[in-house]
Amino acid sequence: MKVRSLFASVIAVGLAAHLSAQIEFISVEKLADHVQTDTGTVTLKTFIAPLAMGQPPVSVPYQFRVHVEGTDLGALATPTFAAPAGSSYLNGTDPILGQMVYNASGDEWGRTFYYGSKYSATG
Amino acid sequence: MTVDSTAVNLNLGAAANADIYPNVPVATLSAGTWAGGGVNTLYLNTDQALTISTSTFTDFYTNGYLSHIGLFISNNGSDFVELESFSDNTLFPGELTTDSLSTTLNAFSLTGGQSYLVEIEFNVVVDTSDELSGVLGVALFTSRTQFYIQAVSAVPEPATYAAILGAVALVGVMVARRRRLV
Repeated sequence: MKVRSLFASVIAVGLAAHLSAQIEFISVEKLADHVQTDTGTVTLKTFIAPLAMGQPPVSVPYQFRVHVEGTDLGALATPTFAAPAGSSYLNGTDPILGQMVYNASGDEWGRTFYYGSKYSATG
Repeated sequence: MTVDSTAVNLNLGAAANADIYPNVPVATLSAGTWAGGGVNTLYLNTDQALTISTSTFTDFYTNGYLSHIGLFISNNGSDFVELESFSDNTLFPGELTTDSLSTTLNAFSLTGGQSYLVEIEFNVVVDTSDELSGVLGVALFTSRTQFYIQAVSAVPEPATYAAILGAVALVGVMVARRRRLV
């Protein structure tokens, strides 16, 4: 993941004092994505948000990404993310709580949440 | 969020307003032609060098704890490779700082017929956490712009081939005439 590498120097400082820590990096990122199609022409890009079974996909312009990274994280209790009521949260059927998903190959927990508006919240 | 039974508070602050995103990155390109219709693509001959310059990151060094600019490229869906990046870090004052990037792809560094995705990212970290000992937690905003490059092999156009063949034929005719005269 690029975000982690961006701040590698900061991580190194943190680990120097706590070499035994398994969790190394946690991030909450709010992303606005754009596409350039001409000289000086940039437009907001939309994503096809995966919704609950039976619901049609919806194009949304904003992503909200959470990650927990480190080593040997498979045994960690599933991290959760809570968005406040009122945010335009579009994943799944639960509008408030979200569970992260473990990626064994990357040894990280993470999930991308999609928002139909610019509004989001604290992590 | 809750991690390892510990509440980790990463606050995006006044995140209810998208206006606090970093400004939108825009690329200035020294060569190539935009074409393609729906998703326009920059068509670039492989024998041309291409300088990619980013717009200015106006939030750089003014908002948040750490700002970062990244310029990346991916070939046909492969992982992104960093071309250039700079971080401004108030935790480590004195580091080199900049508010824009520029890099040059040399001629013949792209492969003809291949598609490339270029990405510019402006990142601002607005909060950090220390609820979990030894763990760095960050809340950040990212504004990202992507565009496609289609590399075109620097081979002669059909009209060029026709002209070459015509010239060869003309020489052949002239040689044949001389032989008949001799």
